[in-house]
Amino acid sequence: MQDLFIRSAKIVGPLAAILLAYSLYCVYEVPREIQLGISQKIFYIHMGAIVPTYLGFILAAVGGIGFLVTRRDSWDRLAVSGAEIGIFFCSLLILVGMLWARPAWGVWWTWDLRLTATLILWFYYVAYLFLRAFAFGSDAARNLSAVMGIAGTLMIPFVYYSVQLAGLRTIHPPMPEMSAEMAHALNVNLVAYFVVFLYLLALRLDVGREEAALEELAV
Amino acid sequence: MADLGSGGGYFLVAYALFLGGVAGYTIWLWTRLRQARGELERHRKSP
Repeated sequence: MQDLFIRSAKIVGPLAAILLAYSLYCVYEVPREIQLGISQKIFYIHMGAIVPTYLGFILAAVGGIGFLVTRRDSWDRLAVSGAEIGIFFCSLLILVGMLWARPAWGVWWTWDLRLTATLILWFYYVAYLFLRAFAFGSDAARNLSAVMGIAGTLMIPFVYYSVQLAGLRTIHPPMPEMSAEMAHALNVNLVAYFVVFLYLLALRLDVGREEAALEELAV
Repeated sequence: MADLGSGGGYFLVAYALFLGGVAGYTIWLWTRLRQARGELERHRKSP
């Protein structure tokens, strides 16, 4: 199953490149928002990065459960790959969010509930990857990281609903009302980033598989 | 060049960061994959 997915990278890669190019075209074409001007268009990257971030972290949990149940390395590789790609998109999410916030709010960062919760999520999965990097693939580290991956997903609903949870005491806006053109550009970006996520996942799983084969030869 | 207006710098940096990040991460994975495959090939030729 995983091998088939890895092989699909040959098709998914070019598709991701085409969709990414089309998403850029859509962002270029969509009219500028009146108040924020062109900097509002950063919104499309910010929103597009949310789904791959959460999906990556959810895969870390799915892989963790799979590994704890079956003890198969392929599940463990899925978990690490998910966490790594999740961290990559989460970093982009935070950085481009800061670039949006500066012209919109006048500050790069504020300790708002959504921002703070996202930063805690980021630190949590960085700790996960540190654990993996410094424990050299020991069984204890794989068990602990599996549990960490599963526990980490409990934070996702809290982060996602933090704007609603905070009521009016948050600066982070909820999903804005959009024109048809903006909604189209956003949907294209969401699909494009999802396909980029799939390609990166297939590539990362391939790397994990080949490096595991090398480690077996070294033992 | 099109007039980006106020906030244009933030927009350009955000897109450069995003596209550069995706390209950089992809190249890094390709490099790791090529290295791993190269070493596996060497092992197979001279175990």
